[in-house]
Amino acid sequence: MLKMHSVNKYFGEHHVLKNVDLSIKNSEVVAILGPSGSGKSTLLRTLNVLEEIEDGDILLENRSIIYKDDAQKKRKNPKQLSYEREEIGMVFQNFNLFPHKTVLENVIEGPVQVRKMKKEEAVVNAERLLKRVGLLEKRNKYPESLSGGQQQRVAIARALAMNPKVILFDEPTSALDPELVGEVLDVIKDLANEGLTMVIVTHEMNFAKDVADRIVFIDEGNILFEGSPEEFFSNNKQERIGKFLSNFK
Amino acid sequence: MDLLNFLPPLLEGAWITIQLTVLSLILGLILGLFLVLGNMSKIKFFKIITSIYISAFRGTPLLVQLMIIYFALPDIGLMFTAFQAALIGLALNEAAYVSEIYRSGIQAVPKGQTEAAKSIGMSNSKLFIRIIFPQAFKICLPNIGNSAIILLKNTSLAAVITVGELMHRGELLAGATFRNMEIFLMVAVIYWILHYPLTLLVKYFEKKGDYSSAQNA
Repeated sequence: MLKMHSVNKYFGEHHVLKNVDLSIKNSEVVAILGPSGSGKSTLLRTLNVLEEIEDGDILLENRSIIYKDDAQKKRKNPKQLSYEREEIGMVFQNFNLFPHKTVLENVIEGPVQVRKMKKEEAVVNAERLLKRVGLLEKRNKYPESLSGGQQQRVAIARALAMNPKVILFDEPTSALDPELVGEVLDVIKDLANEGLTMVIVTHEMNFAKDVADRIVFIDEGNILFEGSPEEFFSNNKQERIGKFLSNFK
Repeated sequence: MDLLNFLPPLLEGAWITIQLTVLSLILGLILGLFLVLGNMSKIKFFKIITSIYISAFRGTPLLVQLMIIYFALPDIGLMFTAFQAALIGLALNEAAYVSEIYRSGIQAVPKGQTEAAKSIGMSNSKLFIRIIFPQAFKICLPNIGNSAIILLKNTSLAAVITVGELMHRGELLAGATFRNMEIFLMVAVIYWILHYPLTLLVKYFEKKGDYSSAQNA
């Protein structure tokens, strides 16, 4: 459903993603693991074109989200890109809630402004989502008065409100105090059980093991491993992965 | 007590000072927005034009600008009343400063805000209007307040092009009565009283505008 095809990405001279191919199926939960600086966040951010790629293509349901015209490789303009991004939700490490809007306003912003949904309808939907992440009673609060874990759950509700085909999670628990990690992971686990398609960059090994259908291990811009969590965590053939995993034992 | 006789003409002048300040501030805030949009745009032409504008108005004395507008522009057929000329000069000048204040405010909004807005499919114009600018404006408010205080005092320069504002009224009275000490002290006190609410407003904004706990996100 979401595919990367021979993607190359550079930051100046630095070759961050090297000919990366990746394919995500409907209802699949893919966890991307790797040491810091390996390119895993960059990989995720290219999937909704927050990072532009130099070469290759990204396809959502077999349609390029980068090019207007595959033959001529003509890139989409920002307006056209914004249509593509409606279909791909994203949850950030630092939540990035809109601080000048209440929790409810954060969640209805996309549906009302982008999807042109009626406000009443968007509010009903938002309240349902806030209930689902356990924060309905906070709907008229501003983000600054919420804990990190609560903010991240609102951010998840905001992404869900757009009813996206896939949600990307960029280290969703890395900025949280340890005791707040669980509440966010629980919400993500629920979504996985409901069959939402998700791509998750994370450092939470146990969580990845639990929730992912597939693990992708990336190092220095190359995918070194792709397979089931069982295979990954019992991997002792590949030295690089063994070394990475030994850090978490 | 003849000092009280000076008060009505001075207060009349103060009213014109207030009008000049408020109107040129409003115009400056609007024009400054266009300037900063042009200046931060990717289109080179807009960037160059606005850079020249900002440089010209910040790099030359306001007094000279007022002189040009009131005394020189009529030579090429542009006639203004003294009040209009002062308003135009003050607003154009204020816009240049305000655009720089806006710019620092816009740059102070975390990049994650843009990314979050894009990730829910917002177009560039919508994300600027709904997400970036409201936050930037809030960050800018103390600086805009300071700029308004400077603007209030700068309106006294309009006396030179014969606008009947506070300073000009003071000069006229002093010239007629030679009571320089009393009159200019009264003028100074009136300016101080006019500026005081602005100072309070700046303090209020500085306290209120701080949502740093959400900003380190």
